[in-house]
Amino acid sequence: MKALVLPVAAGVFFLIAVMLSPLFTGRRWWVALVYLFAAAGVLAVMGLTRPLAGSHVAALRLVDDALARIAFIVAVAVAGFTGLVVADYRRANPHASGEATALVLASVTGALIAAMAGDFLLLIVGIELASLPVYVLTGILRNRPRPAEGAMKYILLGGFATGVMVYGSALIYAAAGSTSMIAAVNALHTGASKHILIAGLALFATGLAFKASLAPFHMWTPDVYEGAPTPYTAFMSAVIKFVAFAGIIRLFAFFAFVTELKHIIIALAVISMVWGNFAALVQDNVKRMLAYSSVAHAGYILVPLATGHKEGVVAALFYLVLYALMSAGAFGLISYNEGEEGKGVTFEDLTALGVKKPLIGLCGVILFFALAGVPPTGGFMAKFYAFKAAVDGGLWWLALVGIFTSMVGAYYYLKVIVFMYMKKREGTGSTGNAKVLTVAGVLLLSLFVLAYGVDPKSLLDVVKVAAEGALQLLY
Amino acid sequence: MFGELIILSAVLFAVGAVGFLTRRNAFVVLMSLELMLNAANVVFVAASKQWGGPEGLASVLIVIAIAAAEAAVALAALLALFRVVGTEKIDEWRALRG
Repeated sequence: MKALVLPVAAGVFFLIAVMLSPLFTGRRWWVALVYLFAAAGVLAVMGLTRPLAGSHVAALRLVDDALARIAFIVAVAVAGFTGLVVADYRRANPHASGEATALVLASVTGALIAAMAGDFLLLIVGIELASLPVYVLTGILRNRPRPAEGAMKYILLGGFATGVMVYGSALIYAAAGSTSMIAAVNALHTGASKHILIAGLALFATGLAFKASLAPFHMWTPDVYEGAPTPYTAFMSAVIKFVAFAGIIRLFAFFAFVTELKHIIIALAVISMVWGNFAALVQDNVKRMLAYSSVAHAGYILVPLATGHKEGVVAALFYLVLYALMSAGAFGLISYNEGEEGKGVTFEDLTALGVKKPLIGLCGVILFFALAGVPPTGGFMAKFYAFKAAVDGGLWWLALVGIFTSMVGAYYYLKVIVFMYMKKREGTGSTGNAKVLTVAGVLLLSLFVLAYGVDPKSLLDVVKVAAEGALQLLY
Repeated sequence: MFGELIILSAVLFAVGAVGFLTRRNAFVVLMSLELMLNAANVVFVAASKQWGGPEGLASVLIVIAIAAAEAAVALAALLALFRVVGTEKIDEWRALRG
């Protein structure tokens, strides 16, 4: 129980400490240091020594299991990475560093609450605490049109998703007499007020699909990913998606009772994969391309979940961790090439980056190969497990759709690498500054992506425990 | 009575959702969002009468807090955006394609 409450308390403590600290002078090393310090502190408090297996429903309807811990470790790691990238990004785009740091930490705290939630309303509170700071971070360069507009669009559509989820949880309460997930499962068992309950669950799932940017609920994604300052795009693409899918995995236990949900999941997966990949083909802004690719990846993650088996949850979690690393790394790379906000983010701007900067070029090759699903990167293993789970679960045609659309996707990922190694003319991105911290962060993520491709078992064992724990709660 | 209240809340929610999707003034869109959240509150209050116990009423307070936090951030962001682009009409925001 203590292990549960402490990380939340630590998160709140750190974010208050950061806000009150004299960080507002804005020395970039300090910002990065504080992120790392906070990350290390929270991880230490997290008590990773405790056994991961099993699932423990504690007071306040918080669930302490491996899924929550993986989500938290990913969120803290990505926050640390964001701190490194922001420290360099701030030189060309000065903004309030103390507030931004506190907002990232608030979002991490929210991600933890959401990942631990065993209650629909609590899940909403967690997702809101994770999202609201990200809305502000999107618009933190408030005198520029793109971030300001991106923030407003994100707030409106994110608010709509929240409204839908809140109404869904209200209907669940009306039918089950409680907003806890266990009560909802029990109500499905007994079959009382089943229609209201299913309507509530469907609305709730729709809201989560918005947050996970699944097509056709992805309309906000390209605008927000393009508008947000790139380091914060890296953060939201990894953390908000992870949190939304953690919620979807917690809902997974309901699939067994509601067969209609399975058809909806399959439909969402197909639409996301097709729409995301084909829309990404025609983009010339790399951030927008990565946004549509994020829609496509959300579709790939749904493919194994549609099977309804435990193996599907394992594959989805594996993919989710890898996607967080790949996506954050890719946006970090764009941030490396970006000077002033919005300058240096097109394919053209990446011209010859790999020739001029061999190390960042190598990272780019690893990350974009991983996003395309080329072996021996972790991205390949993630796709392999996802499609294998689908075939094993009897959804071979869904796996075929996935393989076909990934082949379409390979075109635009490899296009990035082609541009990076073209020698024709100089890129216009500002790479004059060294940006050591960004390089360090991107390199670290690239190495992880590569390592999980070579040795997928190390991650697979962890996510297996997480999948078992998540399902054990409700069965 | 319970059934009627659920229907009332569904109507409120639908009005909010339709308003959100069709109106072009950002302030009206934000008001529609509030309507959707308060439709949920009607359900919570009605159902808490049926089920008894404090959970439904406590949920209402949580939803109100969510709505307040969201409105605060949304209005601040709208003000910032208005200063840059000078309009609150959603379809006149053109810095980002889409």
